[in-house]
Amino acid sequence: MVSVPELKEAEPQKWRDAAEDALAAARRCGSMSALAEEEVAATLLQCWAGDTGEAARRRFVQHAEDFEAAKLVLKKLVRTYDDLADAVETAKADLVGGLSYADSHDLVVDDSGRVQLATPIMTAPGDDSHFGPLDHAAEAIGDALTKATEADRTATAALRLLGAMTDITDPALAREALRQDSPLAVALRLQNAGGGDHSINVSSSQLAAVEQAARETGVSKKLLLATLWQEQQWYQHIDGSPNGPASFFGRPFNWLLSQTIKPDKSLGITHIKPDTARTVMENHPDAFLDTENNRLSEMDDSQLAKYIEENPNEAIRLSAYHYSDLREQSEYGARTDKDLFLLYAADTPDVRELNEQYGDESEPRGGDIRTRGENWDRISPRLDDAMAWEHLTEAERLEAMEQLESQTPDGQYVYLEPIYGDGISMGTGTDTGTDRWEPEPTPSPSANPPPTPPEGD
Amino acid sequence: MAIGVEGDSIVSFEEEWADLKAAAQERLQTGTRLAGVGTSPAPGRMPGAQNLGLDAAPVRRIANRTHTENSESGDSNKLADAEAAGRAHPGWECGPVSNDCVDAWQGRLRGLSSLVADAADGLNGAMDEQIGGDRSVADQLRSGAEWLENA
Repeated sequence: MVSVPELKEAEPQKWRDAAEDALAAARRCGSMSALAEEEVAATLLQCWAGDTGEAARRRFVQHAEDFEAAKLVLKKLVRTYDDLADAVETAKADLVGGLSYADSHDLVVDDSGRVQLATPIMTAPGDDSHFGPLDHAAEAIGDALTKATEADRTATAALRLLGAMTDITDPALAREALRQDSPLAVALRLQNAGGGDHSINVSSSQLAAVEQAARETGVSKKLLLATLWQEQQWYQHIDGSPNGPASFFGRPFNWLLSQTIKPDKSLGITHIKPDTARTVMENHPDAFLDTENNRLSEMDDSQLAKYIEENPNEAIRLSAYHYSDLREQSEYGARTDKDLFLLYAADTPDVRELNEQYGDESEPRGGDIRTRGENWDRISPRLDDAMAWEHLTEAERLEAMEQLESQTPDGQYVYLEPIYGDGISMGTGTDTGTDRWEPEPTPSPSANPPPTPPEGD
Repeated sequence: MAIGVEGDSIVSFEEEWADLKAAAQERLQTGTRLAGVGTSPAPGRMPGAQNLGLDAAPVRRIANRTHTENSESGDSNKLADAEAAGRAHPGWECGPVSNDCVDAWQGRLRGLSSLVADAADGLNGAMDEQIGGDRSVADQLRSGAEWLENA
């Protein structure tokens, strides 16, 4: 979420200047494309017969396409910057108006847009007349921040794609990639996701459990996947397998610890605490039954710990219900998926208060919460891309791979690895490209040897 | 001017040169062609006496113009304002992402400019090579003709 200071200090004119800049670059690319095709290639066709002239003509036809593809992408960049400038300008004006109103009514506004009375006042029971200005200011400021955040997210998604399109040399493929949510666009974003983060190393059964739990509780699939990613970091990350040696020892170790040493030790694939799990089961007794319809909430601690460790799908369900409960208890500090993600680590009044104060900003936070917030920021787009890839059909994925391969230099790998799932795709580039052009040797007619003079007369 | 004997016919240098040029041109024109490519120069554009299938002057002009326009476009391709916009919004999600996008496209535009400059240079180089090759053939034929004259 864009914060109050960020929107207040935003400079929409700079985004407009960026749009003008990109437009100039797009125009130059258009001019170079026209020159290469309509003048250079045409001149070569007219004036240079033979293999060498033909090779030269083909080269300039390719350059014309290179520049045309670049022009298409840069034009989209123009629209992206322009739309962003418009949205920011409007949102900023609304925010400034809201802040001015708040100031004139003795209200304070947090960075997150939360509005409060500057000084508490005594009122008669049922008298909420003084809340009118507060509600008005909160609504105006909240709307401004929402609009700005939406514009920020839209621009970010577009810019990530446009930045990934520098290798597209075919104008037709450029148009395809610019089509919203096209398989090629998803593949390009995946390809350019950058490395460094471990994948969510769970089985297809557990991924199915995530889908089921999301449907059952209304909690977002993305939030549950992010939780798996975050909470796996101890054993799956180390040995790369849910069934590897670290996991093999990790789970019984956790169970043992839960029995003897640390009753609050986090358990299972989602690192849920036994007390939290028990609370969830007690809040939803009919959702957690054994095969004989006995309530699992009646298990003792060691049985509960063992159950969680041995049933990762149930651990996922427990976490989903826990998230649902967090929001059910109070929306305060639990408004967004990121708020909930932070509360999963520590549901305390402090964390909720800071969620309210700072919104989705990670920078002002401290300690582990800040790290957790930054993790969310980093993997969130990767989860979005992986979910988009997952929703494509096999045929769409194959086509996107072929399109990527056609734009990748011959022999180079094309490798897409979503952050979860078995959708890893590999291929090899087929584009012979436009390497430095070496003129082909000119075929020369061999001169006949000098005629042999006739013998005698 | 009779300079040699081919079978029972007396062959002039001009006739032999014309035969050799025609044979070479035929060999050049029977190479692999792409679809949609013209196979011969437009009517009225006959190659010069020393350049087989090549009219160099217009090609040099367009190569030089390509260089000029490419150089001029270099300055307006820098995306400096786009870079500044991203840097002015570091706390926004789109700020750093815009920086990455602009960085990638600055590199791409420089690369395209280099490719075109190389291709324009390549045109002149290839023409020089072809013309040089044609002169070499012509020189060999003239040497042969002179030998015959002096025989």
